[in-house]
Order: sequence, then structure tokens, then C-alpha cells
Amino acid sequence: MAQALAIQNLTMRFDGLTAVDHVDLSLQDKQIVSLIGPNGAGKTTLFNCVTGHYAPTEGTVHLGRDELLSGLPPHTIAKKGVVRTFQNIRLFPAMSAVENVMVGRHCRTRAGVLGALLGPPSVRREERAIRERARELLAFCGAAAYENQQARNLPYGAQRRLEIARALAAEPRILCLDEPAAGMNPRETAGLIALITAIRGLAITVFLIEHHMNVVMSISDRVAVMDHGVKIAEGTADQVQKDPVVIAAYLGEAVGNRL
Amino acid sequence: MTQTGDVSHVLRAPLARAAGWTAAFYLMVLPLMGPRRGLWVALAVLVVQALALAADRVSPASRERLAAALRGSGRFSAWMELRPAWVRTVAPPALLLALAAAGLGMSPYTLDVATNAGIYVLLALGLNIVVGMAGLLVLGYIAFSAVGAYTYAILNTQFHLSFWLALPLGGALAACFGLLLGLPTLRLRGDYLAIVTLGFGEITRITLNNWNSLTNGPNGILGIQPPSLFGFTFSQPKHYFYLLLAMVALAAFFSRRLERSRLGRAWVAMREDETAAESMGVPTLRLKLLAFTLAAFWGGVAGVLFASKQLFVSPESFNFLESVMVLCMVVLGGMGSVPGVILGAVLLAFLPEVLRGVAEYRLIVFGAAMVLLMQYRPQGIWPSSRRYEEFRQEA
Repeated sequence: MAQALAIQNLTMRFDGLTAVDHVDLSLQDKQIVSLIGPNGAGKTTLFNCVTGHYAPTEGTVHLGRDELLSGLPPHTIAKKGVVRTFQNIRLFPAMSAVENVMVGRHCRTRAGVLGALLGPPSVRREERAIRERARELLAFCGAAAYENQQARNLPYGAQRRLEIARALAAEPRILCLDEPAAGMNPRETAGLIALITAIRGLAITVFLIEHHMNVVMSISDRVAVMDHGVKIAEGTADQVQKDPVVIAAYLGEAVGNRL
Repeated sequence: MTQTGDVSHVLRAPLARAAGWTAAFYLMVLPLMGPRRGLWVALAVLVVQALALAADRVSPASRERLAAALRGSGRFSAWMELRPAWVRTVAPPALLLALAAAGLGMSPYTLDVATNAGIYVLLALGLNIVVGMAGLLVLGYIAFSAVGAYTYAILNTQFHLSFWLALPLGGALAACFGLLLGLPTLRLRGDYLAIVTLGFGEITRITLNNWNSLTNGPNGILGIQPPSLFGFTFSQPKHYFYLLLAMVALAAFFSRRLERSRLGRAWVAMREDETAAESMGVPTLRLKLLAFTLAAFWGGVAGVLFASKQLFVSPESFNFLESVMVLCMVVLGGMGSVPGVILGAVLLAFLPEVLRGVAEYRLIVFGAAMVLLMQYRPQGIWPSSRRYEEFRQEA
């Protein structure tokens, strides 16, 4: 299997605080890799480094074999194929659901100022294709019913799905989902598991931060565990679950020692 | 510092509040009208307060009704958003034709005011690209217009450059200024960008005022030739009226196109959530620069038209108040809404003329109208509606 993403020696320091501490992690193509860990372990900071929101203090992020991502601005990284969702949903609230997804097509389309002003057939065709694709993706993510509603009016679970549809519109090679199941009820969570599995079916690598252990354990090909900025374990779901270091991180030292 | 104590409970008493407003208005008009005539304003304010209080006593719902009236009745707004597609297609050309026909019957004075309004509409449509669509607050916008106006004034008086060449050239030069200003400043957010652009506006005006060898300083440049086309010279107010009408139609058409394009969508996304837009692959910095440059271009074009109409330019025409005026037109009409912005510009351009009867008080009336509108209708007179499109999609 080919390498999709390589995180090497990644470190992010904020003044005195080391949020991510020399983390190495590699994702293989078409895998679902989960990143778990207690609150404040540095998971989202790691995501922010991968997607260009932070420039890492040390270390590198490579796409595929040798394409350097670290240091590039977020929109370039998105165009190269690493697209994310946000822990606290960040939709475009006053735009309709379908428009939200259409914005995701921006980096895969080209109409410029002249195209907009003159409106030649090629631009109209492109615009139609954008809308069509956006609709398909809404349907794929199970949010077709909300197509013309303002994003802010969607139910919570649908907003999560819409955010995923918007990210898919940018044709990612790697989709980074930051706690997509946060705040979901068991039924919504089951739907999300199915959706993520379907996304892998599109030959997209999924990089997942999640607290819901049933989501993580049921779909992950690999699980990495972070605590205090350090990667403390990595392996299959089963391996990680039995790892005493992980148990200690989650339940506290004393319990970990007793096991 | 000593603690002054909370006075809000005092202000809550209706009488105290009325007295407070009266005093505030008196102080406000004092420098303008002097201590004695200012008393009349204070009295008027007091009477209005008393009337409002009385109305409140008689029927507490009356205030709500006033607010609702200003907000606009739901029925009209609903119709505007759901108006049938043919209204949308037919209305703009019909309006254009009606205006063109009306131009035949207008007095030279009305035509002149309408032409000025047209220039303001152009400016407002230009500023709307950057303020309304891209969501960047720009305060010194009139400077771009100054660049366009002086481009035509200087090149025409020195080298007899034709108006039709100056029109795109003035726009292009203003766009260059926009690009140069935008490159270093567009990383700034919100207020900071506003302050920098305000500074740019002032620098431009002061430069024009002091660069005697090029701009003839505060005396301005006289002797600009009016535009001519195939031997026909634009000399009467009527001619300019139709020229401006055509330019406004063009600008409105382009604005609409832009608004509904991939770029317009990306601008809205950027305005709504810059971080999310950037993460979805929208190059926000480049798009801001683009909005800035396009807005500057239209500012420049409006400037060339202004110079060609006045046949005289001086730095005085490009002071900060003009920038504020254009911004008010955009905000008042409805940021991001092309018909709204046009309406706002026309209203604000005509209002001072309508209020000429009340001479020096007109600025007060003007200010009061602005405060009332922003209080009860902050979205503008004709806000942009995204919903109509969606209903059409469903049909």
C-alpha cells in the first residue's frame, strides 16, 4: 500500500507550551486512521499543522511520498488534496446547504473575472456542473433534503454531514475529520459510521479525531493515541485498547499500574 | 479615578431620558446654529419626546407598530423575494427604458442632479464589490475616484487624450493603485484595514493638494474637454444623463454577473467565515485583492466621468466626507444587494436636493434619517435575498 501522508518529528510550541511533541505518524492509502487521546492532548493542534493553519515549529508533513505540505497556506494544502472539517462546525451560515458545498468546488474549478462578466457557454457549463456535483454530494452524505435551506437552520447532525459534503466537494485525497460524532445521538452516530465507511469506498484516506470509542473501534484500520502532545501508542484498535500505557492515560496512573 | 456610580437607573425614567435627549441634541446643534436658534431644535426634540411618551401611554403597542412599519411589512418583503421570474427578467430593462424616456422630459436641473446621482451609483456599485460582496471595510474609497478624475484631467489638458481612451485608462490606473494598496494591507482584518484605507484616502487628497507641478494644487485643473463621439460633443446635461445611464446599466449588469459567479460565491463564503473558506481551498488573500482591484477600477471609471462632466477637478471634491457618503449608500441600501445599493445611492444623492428647503438643517434631518434606518432596518432598504434563487431552483 502506498503512503498517503507522512508526519515526521512534528512539533508545535506556543511559547512555553509544547502542544505537539515530536510526533511521527504515517497514513496509508484508503485507510481510516483515528487519532484519540484525552482532552488537550494536542490532536486538533496536530490537525491544524497538517492543514496549514499553523506552521509547525519543527518537523514536516509530506503528502504521498515527497510532496512537502508544512509551511504552505491552507488553501494550497486543500488544493493538493488534504481537506478538513472543524471540531466546532464552521459552515457558511447564511448560505444554503447546496451553496456551501458549491464553495467546496472552488479549488477544482476555474471561472475568473472575465468569465463571470461575459458568461460564455464554458462558464455556464462549469457552473451547472458545480451545482450538479454539489447536489450529488449532498445526497451522498444524506443531506439532500436540506438542499435549499440556510445552513444555520439545519439540525445539528445534518450540519455535520453538510460539512463533510463540503469537504468532499474539494476532491480530497485525505479527509481530516475533527470529532465528527461530537454531540450526536446513537442513531446519528451509526449513520456517520456508515458515511465514513462509504467515503473510504471512494478511495479517500480518512484521518479521524474522535472521542466516541464505538466509532473509533468499529471503523479504524489504525489508531494512534496522543497524550500531553506525545504519541504514546499506535496500532490496530485491539492492540491500542489493551495497551497499558493507553489505559493509564485515559483512566489515570493508579488504575494503569494495577492492570 | 473615582467611581461615578451607575446612572442607568436614572435614565430609565422617561422624563430623565427625554431631558437627556433634549440636552444631547442641543449640544449637538450648538456649534452649528448658535445658542438661541439651537433652542428651537431642543424644543422640537422635547415635543417629539412628549408625543412619543403620550402615544406610549395611550397605546403601548404604538411603538412596536412604528418599528414594524420601518422594518417593512412582511407582505411586501415576501412578494419581493418570491416575485415571479419574469418580473426579475423584465424589470431592469423596463426600468432602464422608463428612465431613458423620463430623461426627455426632465428639466436641465433635474438632469444634472440625476447625472450626479448616476456617478454616485457607479461609485456605490464599485464599493459594494469590496464592502458588500467581499466584506472588507474600506473608508477612503473616493481616492480611487480621484485617481481616475486626475488621470483624465491631466492627460486631456496636457496631451488631449480622448475621453473614451481615458475611461478604461483611468479605471486601470485606479486599479493599479488598488493593487498596490491592497498587497501590503489586505492581511489586516476589519478595523485595521478600514483605518489604513482611510489614511490612503487622506494621503491621496493631500498629495493632490500639494503636488503643484502636476495637479495645480488646491486651484485644481481647468479646461478639461467634454467627451465627444464621431464629431458629436457632449455639451448638455441631457447628453451626460444618457452617458451615465448607460454606464450605470453596464455596472449593474456586471455587478449582478459577478455576484452570481463562482467568485461571488467565494466572496460570500469568505465574508461568512474566512478560516473555513480558506480551508476549503479558497485563496482568500488573492480574492480580497481581486475585489479591491475591481472596486478601485469602478471608482476610477466614475472619477473619469466626474471630471468629464464637471470639466474641472480639484482636491476638494475628493474629501473624506465623500467616501463616507458612498459607504452610507452601500450600507443604507443593503450591503451586497445590487438593486439595494442603487436605490441607496439614488436616495442619498437626491435627498440633499429635496432638503434644500431646510437649508443648513438638512444635515441634521439626514443624520436623523440614517439613525432611524439603522436602528430599525439594519439590513438596509432592499437587502440581498439569497432565498429567491432557492425557490426558483425548486420550481
